[in-house]
Parts: sequence; C-alpha cells; structure tokens
Amino acid sequence: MERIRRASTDSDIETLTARSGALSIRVGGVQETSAEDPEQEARELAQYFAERAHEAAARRLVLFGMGVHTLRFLSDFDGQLLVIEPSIGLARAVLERVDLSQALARIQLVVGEDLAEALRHPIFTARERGLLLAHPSARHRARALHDALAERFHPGGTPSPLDVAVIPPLYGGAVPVAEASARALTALGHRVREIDLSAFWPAFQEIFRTAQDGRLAPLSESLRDGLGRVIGEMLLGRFELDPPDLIFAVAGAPLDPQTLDRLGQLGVTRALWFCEDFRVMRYWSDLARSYDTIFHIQPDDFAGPLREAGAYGVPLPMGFDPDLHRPIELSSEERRRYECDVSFLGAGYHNRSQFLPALFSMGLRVYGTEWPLTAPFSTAMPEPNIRQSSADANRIFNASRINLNLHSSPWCDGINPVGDFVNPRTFELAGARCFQLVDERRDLSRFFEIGTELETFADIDECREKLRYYLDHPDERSEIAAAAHRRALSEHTYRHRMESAIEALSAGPVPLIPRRNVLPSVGSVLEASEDEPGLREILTRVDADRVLDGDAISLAVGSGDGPLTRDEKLLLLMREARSEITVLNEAGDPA
Amino acid sequence: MKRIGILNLTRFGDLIQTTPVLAGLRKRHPDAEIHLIVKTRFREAAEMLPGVDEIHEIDGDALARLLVDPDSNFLDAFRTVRYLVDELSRVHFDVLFNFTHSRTSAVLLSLLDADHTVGYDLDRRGSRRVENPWLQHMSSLVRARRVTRYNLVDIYLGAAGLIGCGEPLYVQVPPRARAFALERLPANVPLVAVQLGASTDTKAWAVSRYAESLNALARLVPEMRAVLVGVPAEKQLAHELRNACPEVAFEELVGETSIAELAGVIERCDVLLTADTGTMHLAGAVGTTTCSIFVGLGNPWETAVYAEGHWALSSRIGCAPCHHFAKCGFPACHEDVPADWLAELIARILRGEDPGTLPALPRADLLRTSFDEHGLLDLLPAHRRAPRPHDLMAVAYRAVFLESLAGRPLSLEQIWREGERRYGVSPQHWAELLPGGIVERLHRLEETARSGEEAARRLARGRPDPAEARRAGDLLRQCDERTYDIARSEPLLAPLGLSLEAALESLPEASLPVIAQRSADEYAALRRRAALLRDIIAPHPTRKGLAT
Repeated sequence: MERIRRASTDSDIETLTARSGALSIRVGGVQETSAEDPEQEARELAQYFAERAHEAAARRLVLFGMGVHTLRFLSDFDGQLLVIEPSIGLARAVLERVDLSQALARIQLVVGEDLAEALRHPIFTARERGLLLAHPSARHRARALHDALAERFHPGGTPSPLDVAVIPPLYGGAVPVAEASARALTALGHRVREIDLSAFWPAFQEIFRTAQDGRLAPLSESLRDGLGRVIGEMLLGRFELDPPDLIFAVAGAPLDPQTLDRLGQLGVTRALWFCEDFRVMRYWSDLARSYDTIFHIQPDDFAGPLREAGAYGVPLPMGFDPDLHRPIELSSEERRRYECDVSFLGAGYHNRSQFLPALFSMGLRVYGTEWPLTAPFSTAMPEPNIRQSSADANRIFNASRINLNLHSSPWCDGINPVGDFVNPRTFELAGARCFQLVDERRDLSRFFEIGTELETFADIDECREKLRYYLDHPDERSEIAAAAHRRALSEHTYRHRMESAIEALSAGPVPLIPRRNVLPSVGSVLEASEDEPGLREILTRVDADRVLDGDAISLAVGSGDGPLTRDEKLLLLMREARSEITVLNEAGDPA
Repeated sequence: MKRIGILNLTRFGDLIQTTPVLAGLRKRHPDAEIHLIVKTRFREAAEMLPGVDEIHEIDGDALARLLVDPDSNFLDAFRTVRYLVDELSRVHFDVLFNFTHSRTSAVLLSLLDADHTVGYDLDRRGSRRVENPWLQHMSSLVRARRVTRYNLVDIYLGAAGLIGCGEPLYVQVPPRARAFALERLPANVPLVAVQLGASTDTKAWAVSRYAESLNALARLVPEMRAVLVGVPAEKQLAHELRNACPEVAFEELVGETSIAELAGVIERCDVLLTADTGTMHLAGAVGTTTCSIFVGLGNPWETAVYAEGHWALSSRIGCAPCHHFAKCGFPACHEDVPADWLAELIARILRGEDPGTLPALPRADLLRTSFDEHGLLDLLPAHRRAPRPHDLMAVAYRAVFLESLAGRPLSLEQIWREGERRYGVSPQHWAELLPGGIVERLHRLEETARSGEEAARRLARGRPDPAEARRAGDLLRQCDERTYDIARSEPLLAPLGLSLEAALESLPEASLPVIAQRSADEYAALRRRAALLRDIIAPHPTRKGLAT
C-alpha cells in the first residue's frame, strides 16, 4: 500500500466525471469504465464475477484488474479474493478517490506488472487455485501478465490455436453462417470441429408435422425440448471424452441451459453468435446466463437487455464468405436462366410480400422459399419456392443488374421504420461485386458509405425512382458495386468476424486459452522421423497436412494390410493412453 | 508353468480384488513366478498383496505428462512408450492375465511377450477381443446389471480357472503401518472408520447423509470415535462433515495416510462406513466389518466385499443400479436409508449383535455377504420380500450361466428351492410373477438358436462352394439379428442376447470350419440356456430334477 501511495502521479491516468456523476477513469487514452454510468457497469460486472465463481464452486477468486468501482459491489462473493492490478497509477487513482475501505478489509491486493511478485502469492502454490477472472480493460492493458497468470490456472495453455466446436442450428438461415464461421476459424489456423446435426432435421420436421394436428399442438414444445435434450446429451458425451476449448454456437443451436452448464463445468468456454433480431426471437433470455459471451448484431438496443439478463454481450455484425459470394463470369446458359433487370432473393416474410408486388411491373424477379404461389407472385417467380444453393444464389446476384435487398420483418407492411442491424445479404451482395438497393437501416452506415458503396430507399416511391435511375446508369452501378466490393473484402468477411470474435473472447472476463497440447501435423513428425522407418511407413498413409490426433492414428493404422505391426500397436497404445488420460484428468483419481 | 503375469492398471480397490486369484494361482502353481504389472502410484498397494514375486510399474502419471504436455515432442513420446513396452517385454510370460477393462490395457497386452493371454486383448487387425467366457460375460454384467449377479472377484477367479477355490481377500499389513495406526488412534473406544469419497461422484453417498447418520450414532454410542479416511482431494468433504457434526468426536486422517497406513488404520477400526470404494475392499482384506451404502453406479452384486459377514445396503428404487452411461440429475437412491436406522445398524455391529433383526426398510435392502454352495459370493437379504421380476430371473441366470461357464451341474429343484428360500415363491408361481410372453419369447429364442446351430454345423462339416457359404452366412446373420431382436424386446432376456453377441465378437481368427464349429457351439449354448430358463419358469408337468 505504501508503494502505491508513493507512486508518482501517472501521466497516463485521467480522472473524469461520468454523466451519472460518478468517477470515471481513462488509462492511456482508453476508457477504463463506462463514460455513462460506471457504477451501474461495476455493479453488473461484480454480479457477473460472483455468479461465475458460484457456478464454478470456487472458494478462491483471482481478479485481474481492480476496476474503479467493481470492488465495492463484490460483496456477494464470500470466498478468498485476490486482486492483481497491473497499473500502480490506476490503483493509486482509485484508492485516492473511491472509498474501498470495506472491500479492502477482505481482499488481498497485488499491484504492479512484476510477474514474479504476483506469483509469490500463496494462491499460486495452493492445490486449488480457484478461478481467474479479468476486467476486460485490465486484460487489454497488460495482456502478457494476464496470460502468464492464466497459464498457472490452465497448465499447458499456450498462445496457440484453439480447439473450437462450431454448433449450428438444425435448419434455417443461420446454418450457412455456422458453416462459414467454421471455415473462417479453420482458415485462421484453429482446430475446428464442425458438428453436423442435419440427421436430426427430419425428426424436427416430424415434430412440426405432428404439432400441425391441433389436438397435438400442446405437445410441440415438450417434443422439441426432448429432441434438444437428446442432441445435448450426444454432444456432451463427445465433449466429455475430449473437451474443446471453445463452443461457438450459432443462433438456434440446440443447446439448452443444462447442457451449457455441464459444458461450463468441463471448463469449456461457451459463446453464442445470436445473429437474429432479439425483438423477434425471444429465446435468448433463457440462455443469457448460460453462455460466457453472447455475440450479437444489434449493438445499440440489445446491449442493455443483455446486461440486465446477466450476459456478457459483444457486438459482432454479419459478414460474407468470399469463396461463396464473389464476382463470376456467367455461362450463356446461366445468363439465359438468370439474367434480369431486378431480382430479389429471400424468404417470403410478411413485409416482403406486402412490398414487392408494387415492383413486379418493373420486371422484378423473386427467388426463395415460403412465398405465396398465387398471383401476383406466380408470375414473378421463375423458380417458385425452390431453395437456392449458395452457388446458385451467387449466380442470381451476378446476373441481376440491380439486386433488391429488403430486410425481413414479421410485423411491418414494408420497410421496418426502426430496423437497425444489417443482414448477411448486404455483405454477400457487396462481396459478389453486385449493385444493391437496400432498405434504410440504422446501422448501415457503420459498414458502407451510402451513395458511394450502396444505395438505399426509404419507401416504395424512392425505391421505384432509384430502380429506374440506376437501370439507366450502368456505369454508376458498376462504380458503386466495385467500391462496395473493395470495402467488403477489406473489412467484412467472416474471417474478419472470427478474428474479432476470438480477440473479444481472449480479452473477455473469462479466460479463453488453449488447455491442451496442440498436436503436431503428420508432416512435421514425418520430417523428424528419418530414422524410424516403421513409423514413417504408417504415417505416410495419411495426409501430411493433417493434425496427428487420435483420428489420424486410427486412419493410418486402419489403412494398413495384414496383422498389426509393433509400431502400429505402439501408436494405438499412445492414442488409447492419451484419451484415457483426458478422461481421468477430468474425473480425478481418488480411491 | 514358469511365469504368470497379471496386468492390472486399475485403482487399488481392484488390485485388492485380485488377491483371491493370486492366492489361488500360488496354490495351483507353487513353483511358478507370479508377476504383477501395476501403475506406479499403486505399487505400495501391490507390495501388500501376498504371493507376488515381482512387481513391474507403469508410471501412468509420467506417461500422462508426456502425452499431454505441450512441450513434449511426439517422437520422444513414441520412443518412450516403445522403451517402456520393450522393458516389459523382456519378461516372457507363459500366461498373462489382463484384469483391466480398458482398450489401453488390451493394446499393451498384445505388445507383451506371452505364450497365452487371458482377458482383454487385440486381434491381428486391432479389434478388441475377449476369448475367456467369464470375461466375455462381463459385458452382460455391465449391460444387464439388474439380472446378472456375479461378484467381480468370482469373474476373475472364473477367468483363471479357480472358481470356488475358497481364497479370501487378503493383504499383508506392514508392521510400520500397524505402528502408525497404534500411534494415531485411541485405544479402548469404538472406532468407526468413514470413507466419504469414492472413485466417481456417481458412487459416493451424500455427505449430508453421512452427517445425519453419525449424529444419530453418536447419540446411541457416545464414546464412539469417527475415523475419517480418504485421499487429499476429499479434505473438503471431511471439512463439511465435521461442520455438520459438532457433537461427534473425530479422528481425521484424510490425506494423511499412505495406502499401507490406511490398511493399518482400517484394521484397527471396528467397522467401516463407506460407499462402494477401494477402502471397502481393503477393509474386507484386513478383516474389518464393513457397512457399505451402494448408491448410483454402485451395485453390491458386482462389487460387495468378497468375504463373509459384511453388510451392504442397496436402494430398491426402480432405476438402481444406474446404467453405466446414465447421468442422474435426481439421485433419489441417496435418500433410501434413514439415518436413525443406519445408526442402529452400526451400533449393533459395534455391540456384536445381529443387525439382520432390524426392521425391514421400505425402500432399501439390507444384504449380508456369504458364500453359496459353489463357493461363489452371494448376498443374502436380511428380510424376505416379494420378488420383483428381475430378482427371480437373477436367481435363474446365476445358475444357468454357472453351468455353461464353469460346468457346474444345474438342478431345477435347487433353483426352485432358492426361489422359495429367498422370496417364498413356489415353482408353479414363477411364470405368473414374470411378464407375459416371456416363455413364448424363450421358445422363439430356442428355435432361432436351433436354426443357427444347424446352419453353422452344416458349414463346419461340409466343404461349401462360395454360393453355399454365402447362403449359410446370410442365414447365420439372420439368426444373430433375430436373437438380438427377441432378447432386446424383453429386458429380462437381455443377457441371452448379450452373451451370444460377446461370444460371436470374439470368435478366433481361424479357418471357416473352425469358426463355424465355434458358432455352432455358441448357438447350442444359447439354445440350452433358453430351454433351461423356460423349464425353470414354466416347469413341464412330467419333468423333475436335473435338467437335460
């Protein structure tokens, strides 16, 4: 404490008054707390920390970063509390201005960036070290110290690729989002387990059909819950044998709170990309406390409700996959099939079926599913209610002079006047270097410059007017589409999104660190094993780029002829022992 | 027989359960060397086992570090594993038993140098196989837990050809361990050892239940001392227990004993209160009476103490014991033994009175360990009750499988007597206490088995052309499927399907006639079992006595 008192005033530290009147601090120009209401933020953060500690049954909590007001509100945690604050300046500023006398009576505070000093604390030699949680801002300020400490809580952790299980929904528009996320994470070098739940889709459809009989409708929810439990148990079974570092679930993924809680007990970090309108899809509130982080697409309006529900929310807008949505040359046959002045591709939501007929006279073609098959739609749909693959969708985009993009709404008659988030189609059309005319959205200008990278409309008259104008001005269309394409490629791919997501998770309050050894590739072992001809012969049976995990060993050994060789058996022994150890380490091994 | 090896890479409780096999082998082969291969952390336990000439260690912890440490190199790990196997392979075994139920141990067994192996092994293609019929029967034991009733020690003894050899659990307690116990425990007071944790949470009884029982016991036997034992990870449980029992006098040794010292401590105690744990087997081996609460995964029929006169409590709830893959969110079985009743039971053990005269519990059975006329461990219920269907079938299966596994002659009258003795059920009432249709299903199983047997024998006798062989193969496959379907359709018949499945999966790698002959034998065994069960359940009016 004396050292803190004597510390000279840190020029990096700025003390400010927040709008609520409470103290707010900026460190190195970066806001340490909310500039609006830091006390409320601290209250929520403290509640979050206490709940995480409670869930983990941790009697010891190590808090990285002291925050400004957080410690005042951490009375719900009654175990041993160690706070490590890397910045002496911040500690001094807080201690001078915030009354922490009650809190300090029950916590131990270690200040400074000296790792050795922090590690001298007895907690780091205790058998049960408890739980390490971090103030995101402190983690951002002193990443190296944080990771070095986290290593003590997660032995074997290294700043290396993560083992990620991407959990898709059973059906719907978020399935391709999950697939694209998995591809992007793989491209970023992470080990990705793509979970295919398509086998359960027929079961879900059967439940849906059953519920259409009005007498059986009340059963629908319990049947869906039952199916969710089956899927959850199946996934848990797999993950208990070999837990990933991160579960990255995409909106609609069939994981219930019980399953998520048990995943948390396995030490798996749980993230959800809720890429839906929170006002329409309400199920997020049941899951809010079960995920460590919820990524969402409505930064302004959803952040508050998420916080109130006890969730840690991080905005993560939609994106596109440049391998799927890209400029292409169409064949003459494709041109014959798809070429048109204006097209719209999407599902037949209420607002769209109200809005679009007014444009049929301008030659609008409609693609997608769930549209009424009666007039006037029957005449405007060359492929009525056919689900288009991503490749065909890209052909439709590229073959249309103007692509109309109208965000869906189940209640508006046309354009949603309070629409905020930007749909994937916006990014996909930009990625395909296609000119688009999109309904006005509050967040659109965060991603594209309106007028130079895309065009918008606020009502049907403006839409008609701009359609006419841009059909007559092909050069302007190309220029705008090219600008959008450049912007999309440099900022809006799923790879960008996944980079942001992993960074946010790494800087979030729950440490996300690879917990297990990252296995070598088959090729790297082959290179190093010149004097092991038996082993080399086995390993050359599988792709050199493959990670040398249990599956690769099974494949290599199983591809051999005749009785097992000694080296094959030794590899099997390593595989079996490794999987047994994983299970044993989770279970402990008392008498 | 020069050298016999036993591979046991399990926990110390399982090691202690191999002591009857060790003693039996020692008697049968007095001049042979007996080697034990164990995990390093259980070497101390292995040193207490009698009749072992040499102990080989596998340092599982070091291996674990090597295989999961991010800094270790794959090639180094490969070479270390090879070195470990090479060192073990220097010893040539005439016979090597594997009593570890893991695939790791099966791969290891296949790598070691033995003329003959018994237990979990690999075939030439790397699939797991179990040739010994007793160990094959483990799959029924594990998957049809309510109707298959053999103690694990009897399975081991059967696998070693020693069934009914009369050898008990036994460990040699080192003098230093006895001295430790003398020093740490008071004299002249009743000592009740309490083991709170278990190898998995799904076997451990709730701490709150222990606490209520000890509080009640302290009221009945105020001079009693509760001796808390366990591993360091169980200290928190001990802390919770002590907080909940302010009136109980404790001697806390949790995390403070080696395995040998634990043996010394348990030997000094008058009774051990525990769930299904290694400490329970240790108590059986040092002659201390146990009172074991089997909850969750614990099944007294499989793992009760292999010695006479121990007490096991087992819930009568419909789901007990848990299936091995079950994850119970509502462990109601923990609530089925009232604290006051349990305290009275332990008090009677301490006073040398018969606990069997306590009133019956509505939701739990009190079972006493004993040995049956074949020398197999049996559990005798302290109170006669109306049987549940699986109770009756378990009596039948135990005799039917003993005939095929150990060649013990089976007497229908003896089985019926057993039904009368345990449950008061006379032969003519068996069928009405069992689900309708069971006799008809057994008849269909018998017929299916007969078809399978005939097809397999034709295949074994003749020299079929490829088309004939294919037809016979198809017919056999149909018989297999039909058998499994019938057996799965009635849970009480599951062991019949499981036993055929386990036997066919482990057929030897041999010529077609040999495999066909073995398949025919397995079908014949199935037919025999189904016929016997049918005779037991629905006795033929003219048939008496020995089954044919």
